[in-house]
Amino acid sequence: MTVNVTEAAAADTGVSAASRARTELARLISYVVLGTGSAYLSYRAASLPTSRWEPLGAGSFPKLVFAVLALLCLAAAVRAVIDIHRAGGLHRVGAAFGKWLYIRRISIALFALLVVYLAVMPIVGFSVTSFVFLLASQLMIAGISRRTILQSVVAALIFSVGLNMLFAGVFNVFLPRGILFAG
Amino acid sequence: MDAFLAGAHQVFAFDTLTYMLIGSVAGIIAAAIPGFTVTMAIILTLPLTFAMEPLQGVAVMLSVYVGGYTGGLISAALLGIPGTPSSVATTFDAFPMARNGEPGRALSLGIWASFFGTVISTIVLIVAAPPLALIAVKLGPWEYFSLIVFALTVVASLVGNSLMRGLIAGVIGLGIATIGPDPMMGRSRLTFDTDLLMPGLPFLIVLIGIFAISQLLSEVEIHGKKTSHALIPKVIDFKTWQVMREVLMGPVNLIRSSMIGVFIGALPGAGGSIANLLAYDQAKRSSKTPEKFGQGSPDGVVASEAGNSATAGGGLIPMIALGIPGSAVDAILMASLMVHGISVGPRLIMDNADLVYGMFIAMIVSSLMMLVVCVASMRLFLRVTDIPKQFIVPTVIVCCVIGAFALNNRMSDLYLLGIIGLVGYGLKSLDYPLAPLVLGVILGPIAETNLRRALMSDADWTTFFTRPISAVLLIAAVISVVFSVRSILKIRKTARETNVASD
Amino acid sequence: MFRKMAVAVGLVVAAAALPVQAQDYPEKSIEFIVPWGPGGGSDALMRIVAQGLAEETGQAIPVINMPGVGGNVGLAEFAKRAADGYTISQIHEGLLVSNKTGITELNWDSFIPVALVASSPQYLTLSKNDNFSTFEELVTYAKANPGKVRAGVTLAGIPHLHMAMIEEAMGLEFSYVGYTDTGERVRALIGGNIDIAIGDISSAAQFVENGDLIYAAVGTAERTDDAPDVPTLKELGMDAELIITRGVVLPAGTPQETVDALEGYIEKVMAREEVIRLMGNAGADAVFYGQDAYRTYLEKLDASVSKLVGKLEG
Repeated sequence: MTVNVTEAAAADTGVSAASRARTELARLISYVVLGTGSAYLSYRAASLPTSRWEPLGAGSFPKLVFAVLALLCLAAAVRAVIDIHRAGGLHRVGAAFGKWLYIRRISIALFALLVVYLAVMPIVGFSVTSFVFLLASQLMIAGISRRTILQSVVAALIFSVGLNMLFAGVFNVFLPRGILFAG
Repeated sequence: MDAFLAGAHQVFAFDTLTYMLIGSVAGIIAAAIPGFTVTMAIILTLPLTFAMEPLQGVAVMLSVYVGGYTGGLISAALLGIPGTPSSVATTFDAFPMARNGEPGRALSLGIWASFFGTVISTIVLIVAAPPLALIAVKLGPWEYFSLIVFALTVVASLVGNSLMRGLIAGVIGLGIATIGPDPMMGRSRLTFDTDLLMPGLPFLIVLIGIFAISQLLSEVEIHGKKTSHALIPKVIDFKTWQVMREVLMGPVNLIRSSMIGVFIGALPGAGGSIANLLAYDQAKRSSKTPEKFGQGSPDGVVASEAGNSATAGGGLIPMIALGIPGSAVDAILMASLMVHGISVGPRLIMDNADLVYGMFIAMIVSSLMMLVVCVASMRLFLRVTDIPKQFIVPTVIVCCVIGAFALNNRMSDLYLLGIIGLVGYGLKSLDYPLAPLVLGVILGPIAETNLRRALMSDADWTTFFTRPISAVLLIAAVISVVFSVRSILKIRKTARETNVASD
Repeated sequence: MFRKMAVAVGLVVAAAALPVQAQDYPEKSIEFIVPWGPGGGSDALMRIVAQGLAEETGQAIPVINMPGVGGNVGLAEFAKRAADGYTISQIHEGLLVSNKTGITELNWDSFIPVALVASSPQYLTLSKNDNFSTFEELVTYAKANPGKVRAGVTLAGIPHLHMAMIEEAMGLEFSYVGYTDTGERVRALIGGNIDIAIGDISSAAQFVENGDLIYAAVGTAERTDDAPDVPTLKELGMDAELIITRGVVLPAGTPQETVDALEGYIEKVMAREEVIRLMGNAGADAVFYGQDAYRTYLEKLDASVSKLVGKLEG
């Protein structure tokens, strides 16, 4: 009995160590991306022209900031590698990543909708795109049924066409208008 | 005295009070919607005030202003999204408190703190405006730079679980603020010749993207079983009067936070967003139970809301005493007066005493109106959390899009909003704290501009240490860092000891 | 039946092909892009013009603020708008300076100048200090101590240009400290963090009246009504104008009839008592230069900016 309990506990710590290693891997990737990006930006900033009006030119401050960022990321990356080793290395990264994405499937779809919404707005105008975006995302989150469709259409109308009328009519603020529709 | 009565007479006219009430409600609602800001509400009010008497117009704008500083609390507490830039720190404790089943208490605390913050700042404004304004004007680029260095040490209070990731987030903030036109000469930096980056990354776009978009995206994650338990208990008790006593029972915290708000507000260029974070940081450092901060500490809510509301009165100090606007909103107030033919400058209080007294009265009246409106409508605001996710999330996204566009009327700002939202969501998923990033974006340009300006005025680096106020601020920054490192080490040590004990 | 339809189609096509009837302009609201943020000098003055235009034309004239990169973001967007007269914008001296220093490709001739409407005299303003309190004393002190006088300017902006004019005419050498707007400069002047700056009536007059600051000279041809005791630079032996003018422009390619119609409306606006009074309140003189006069002014200005630009670069 006792042996079994210890085994289960060991398995438990094993799971949490493995998941910690996977989280650290994800962070490690972010450190590497941020670190390389900032090293490049620091290099770019260094090539900005200096000024004869002041000791520090336009490039000095960004050069310094991005260099510090690159160093911080390097230090963090080293620590992450050590942590991954200590936690016993990586297992089943692919499956865990799949699960991570699955949990966030609606978030990702919502962001994709946002991208399409913003891309189409200059062509079709604020009112129509907002209506479609609101309707689509509401139905995506709530699921499609007769009730949700009705509710969503009403809510979408108010916050697309209605808001546009409020801003244009009362405040003289014109939201993006499209080539196809003025609203 | 005559001038005081004349001012009072104009404010207490029926139509002025009615307009002010509308302004107060409008300010609260505008600030409560993520993406819409107080500044935007004031800009929309500006043309309407042209048709009013000068004092009437200013009174209405002040009511929008005071209401707006409280409105940001509502979405900060209920949605975890700062409604305005000046309610970033409010989310740290008001949101957890609301999630722990006390949304009514969180709102009440914030409202009372805002009310007292505004009143304290107005009293300071009336009593000490001229000397404070003179101090604010004497500060040169050296003092500004040292102040910002001190403010940057606040990051240590905001890092959450990992000091390293907190620092990285803060430096990312400093870095992205350097993209776009250089603050001295307008020369393009790191824009890669794209129209998208040419105007830089506006602070508000970063704020909305980092906090609002990323929070909304994570709202629709599905973690196994549905977590749609009611946020609001069936019987809500706001305990309005009890909470008032609670706020007043912590006078040190309330007054310290308000004074931070007043001073930061009085400095031209700094604003509510910095005061909000600094007041929170100071409350946490001087608390006997700093570990409760971030878990729904009432002191945290009071400090952050008193701090930002007090900048309303603070910002008026240099404007009334010297005709120098303390913030963007004050600049718009001044523009409204100038169109009416009132020159705002050091002689304002002599030449237009009735107007100045009227503004003092209007500040007090506005804060009372804000209080009444908020207390009366709190129940209504709480209904927001009853609305199902499928309506809230997309609608708030559309509001963010409108707010981001109306800021500069640029389509490219919306693309930036999307990109920053995605980055913010990614960082949030990897447990990077986001507040340091926003702090970096706020403080970076002020630090850079003043550093360069200081070295242009005097190429000698030692001036930072030989000017007394600057030296004091730098020493304070060092003390603050030492203090933070010590407390972080202490927390680590206790954590290790408990680990050993449980083994 | 088919004949009728053919006629109808023909009429529609003909109507579409006809040029815009200038007499009907404007038949809908006109957007006014102000390439600066709300609350600034350009914004206040242009809102007054917009208000007047709305009353003259009977159409709404919404002001749209598009700030960024010293006015260049708004103007870049404006340059892309349809040249039909329903989007108008505003330029000032800053555009010419930005163009010459390479910040923007756009210049005044990328647009059609319609009318110059406001002129703000600029004053050489001194902080209270022990070394000089008049223009002559400043010149003597600066000659004796080259590089000692700290001048607050917008680097590579109009105030820098104005300072460079004074340096060149008087043979002086200042050291420069960068500030982004007039309000900031005046604040630094009062705080004693800089010694001289270019100021105007709306931002500095009360401090001068109070004795905190000194107007050493004014950049207009004649002394101004606001400060009649301040000598002009011309009286002091310097041949240069230090003013900031603001004018309304249309996108290149706008039909001439539309330009003429808008010019006519603006002329009426600038004759209004109310507009003149409000602009005075905002610290500017209401003026009216039509298309040709405005163009001549800009051409002359362009030449003098080109001459001095070498002093600003770097």
